[in-house]
Amino acid sequence: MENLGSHTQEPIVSPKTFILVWVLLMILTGFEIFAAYKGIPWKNELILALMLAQAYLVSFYFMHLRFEKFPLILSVVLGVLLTVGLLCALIIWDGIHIIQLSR
Amino acid sequence: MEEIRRMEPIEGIHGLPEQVSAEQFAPSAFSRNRKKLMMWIFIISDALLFGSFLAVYTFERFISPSWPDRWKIFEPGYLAVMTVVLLSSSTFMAVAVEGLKQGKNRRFGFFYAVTILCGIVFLAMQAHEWAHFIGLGARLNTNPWGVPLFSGLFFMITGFHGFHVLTGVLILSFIGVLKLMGKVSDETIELAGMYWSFVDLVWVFILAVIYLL
Amino acid sequence: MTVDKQVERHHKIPGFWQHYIFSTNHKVIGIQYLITAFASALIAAGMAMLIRLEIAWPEHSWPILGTLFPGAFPGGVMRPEVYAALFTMHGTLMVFFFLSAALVGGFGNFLIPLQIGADDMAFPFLNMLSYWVYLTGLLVMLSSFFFSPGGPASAGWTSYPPLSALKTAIAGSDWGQSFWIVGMAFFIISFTMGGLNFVTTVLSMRTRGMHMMRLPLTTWALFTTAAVGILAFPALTAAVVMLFLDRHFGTSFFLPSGLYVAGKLLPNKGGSPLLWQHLFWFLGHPEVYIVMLPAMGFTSDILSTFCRKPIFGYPAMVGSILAIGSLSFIVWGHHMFVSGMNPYLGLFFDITTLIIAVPSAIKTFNWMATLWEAKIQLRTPMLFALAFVSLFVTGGLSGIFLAMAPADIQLHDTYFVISHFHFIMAGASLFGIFAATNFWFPKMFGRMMNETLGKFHFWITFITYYCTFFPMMFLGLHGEMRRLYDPVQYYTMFKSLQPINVFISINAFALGAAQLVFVFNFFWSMLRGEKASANPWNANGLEWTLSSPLPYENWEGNSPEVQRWPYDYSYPGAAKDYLPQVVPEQAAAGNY
Ligand code: HEM
Ligand SMILES: [Cu+2]
Repeated sequence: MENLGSHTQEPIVSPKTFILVWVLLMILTGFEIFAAYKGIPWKNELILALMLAQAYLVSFYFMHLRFEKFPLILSVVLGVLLTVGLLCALIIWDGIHIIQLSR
Repeated sequence: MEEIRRMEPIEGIHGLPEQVSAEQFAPSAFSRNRKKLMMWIFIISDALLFGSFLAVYTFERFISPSWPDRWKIFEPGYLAVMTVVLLSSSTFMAVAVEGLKQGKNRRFGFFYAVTILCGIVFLAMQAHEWAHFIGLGARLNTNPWGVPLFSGLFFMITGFHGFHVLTGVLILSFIGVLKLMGKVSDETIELAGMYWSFVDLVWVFILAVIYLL
Repeated sequence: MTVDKQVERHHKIPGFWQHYIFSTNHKVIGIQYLITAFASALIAAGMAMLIRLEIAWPEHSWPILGTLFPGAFPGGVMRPEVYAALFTMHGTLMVFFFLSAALVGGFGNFLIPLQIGADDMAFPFLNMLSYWVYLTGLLVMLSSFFFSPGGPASAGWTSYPPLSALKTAIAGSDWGQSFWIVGMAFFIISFTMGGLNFVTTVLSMRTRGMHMMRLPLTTWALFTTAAVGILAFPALTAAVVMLFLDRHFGTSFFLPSGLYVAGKLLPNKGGSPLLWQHLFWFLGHPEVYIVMLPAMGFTSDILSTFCRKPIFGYPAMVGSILAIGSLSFIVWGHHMFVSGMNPYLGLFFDITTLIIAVPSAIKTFNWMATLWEAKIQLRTPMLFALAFVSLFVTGGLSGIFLAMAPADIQLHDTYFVISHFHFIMAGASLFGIFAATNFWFPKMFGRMMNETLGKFHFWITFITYYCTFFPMMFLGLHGEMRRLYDPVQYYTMFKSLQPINVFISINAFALGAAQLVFVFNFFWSMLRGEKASANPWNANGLEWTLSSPLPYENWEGNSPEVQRWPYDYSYPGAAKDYLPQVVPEQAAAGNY
């Protein structure tokens, strides 16, 4: 009964990969916090890009999204990014207007 | 009735086996594993909850004439350590699950324990940070920086995240005990690992949007 | 191993409690949902009767009501707070606890596993939990009538702040609004559990041969609905949490600076009530499609069955379901044209809203084409399905008026909007539910619903429905606002319109009374109705290959193998005019 529903077709990931991903994450985090702290030019764009890179690493490697089939990857990524992106973009569009009116 | 009960698979509270032989179902990109699929969908909906919160944060920030300088409130070093702890715990979890799949039980046990430990450390650090923040005079409805929305949003969003970490720690500990008793499938542990990494994923966004931008 | 499983299964019929009350069987849960939803609909309909009574004869004294509810009708006259509470609870119960619950919880649970050839939902226990959480939410909502000191929530089903966020704003904003928030939280949790289950089930539990493009449109619609719900509800969850914090912990997420209540300046600072509107409608608009899509699915299947013709343009139907589902996420701003929203953003929402009329029209034309030159059998489900199309067109066309921001500035928050959504959302979905209940009743209870009573119910409902809601368009065009406690005394310009209101109310009472026929028919047929054969409508779906009423376990382990789509009616060369999905190609000309 134990292995009912377990599925071992997934490729085995060696610890080396995880160590590499971890190192990358550390570098990204360090750079992100540094950029924010020092306030370098293009910091906001940079932080957002680094954030997405980190999110990619965590979801694709740690959450094994990489090993899912393409339609699932697409649904997860698009489902979340599009929905949140639209919500954000459209209400911020309105927010800009509100602040302009109050000036 | 007694006899029938015993026939049921461990998780089948309802009397149907979770996975009737797979060939019975039409092949689909989604049908590899039902529980995992549901976990993904749950994660989508939870991610959208945090997404909505962060969208709200951004909106409220846009409509506020000013926004407090976060570096006057938080320490970059402390923040970095918090992030490192959480990101590492999620790495450990991934290594542990991998070990489990390969039947390396000792490796699994070690990294699994470290994962939980990291989670607890993160919670402690967050509690300390909240205490610091409250000590500065921040409350849900007011704060010394003149933008009450900021502290309200901060408490709400990090509180929600902290709550997720807490449930994660509890779930992992509970499952860990079950594993010691041999009462839990590898798959359940893998799903718990997914949830744990998801909590980490959310932190990545919170870090950028609330602390850094 | 498979073999002894099957043997085992025959003994699995559990005792009373596990069978009927705490059941994990999708059919029982579906029926539980359906009956609970009908109960909440009856309660909400009763509220509507009181609302109409007040509007037609404002502040008139009704001694009976005065004796029945002395608190709410002192001296027989409805208090204004009661009026506000009634329209709020009417909307909330109808939209969430009746329409969504009946369509998704009721028919979704009942039909999805049957139509895809699965034995049950993917997670039956979660499914049971979903029903009980829903019931808890409903009870919390209803209990606010009895236990909330200021009466139930009164800020409308949309609960706009500041009214809903300030405890002192009106009586219902005090405890009632908190009950509302808690009740909605339960509903959201229940819907999410159901949605997870539905999406997983459809994606991973289809039987052999059941490709996505062989699914009945009902299942397609229910599936899309569940997915839309999962993507849309989190925004409301966030909003509800924030509203709670605003109310009880003094935050100002939705409260701007400089608000005065009773002459006192409030300390709140910096928030925006527009944010609530954005978040609410981010759910709210998809929600209206959540209740629309399943009804569209039922209609497609029922039209095809009673036309004895394949549904016209199946791929286009599937495409338009998906298009409507995804477009519904980018039109929410059309509820906010007059909110002071960014006009360019308004233009954006204007255009997307008009675009959503395209897939809607595709569906309508496909239904028309299905009806074209068909030998239509006018049974009760078919009548309701045809009425669905009619209501959908009426409501959809009025929606196009509303979608144009310049027109909406006049029409917003008038009876025109009320008319629009009572045709399209309330009406069409309601008729969809009636159609589906009549159609699948034999599967649920093994008996047919009475045809004479059904037709009687249909004609009264259909005629009074139009007579109730169509005149509201004229009220709206003349500018009469919705939610007016007394449209005569305080708004003298509406005095001349009052006869229309009286006409509407009389029809509304007839409409309400007609529903008792349905209730009677439902229970009477359940006990006394004519026994149904396995396939009384000669339909093709997998559910019709099982006995009526359904066995406790759908296929007892022998899942069917699907050979074709579900719309092979009047198939050339076939012996009968229908070909169930399990009939292989070679056998088509033979027995079937
Ligand atoms: C052709 C498609 C449609 C268009 C163009 C359309 C357009 C609109 C617009 C512009 C409004 C806002 C009116 C106002 O408040 O000023 C509105 C309100 C509404 N619509 Fe639609 N609509 C369409 C279809 C639907 C459907 C399919 C449903 C439900 C199943 C629906 C349900 C509602 C509801 C419930 C409201 C009012 C909510 C409230 O204010 O209480 N609409 N519609
Ligand atoms: Cu809308």
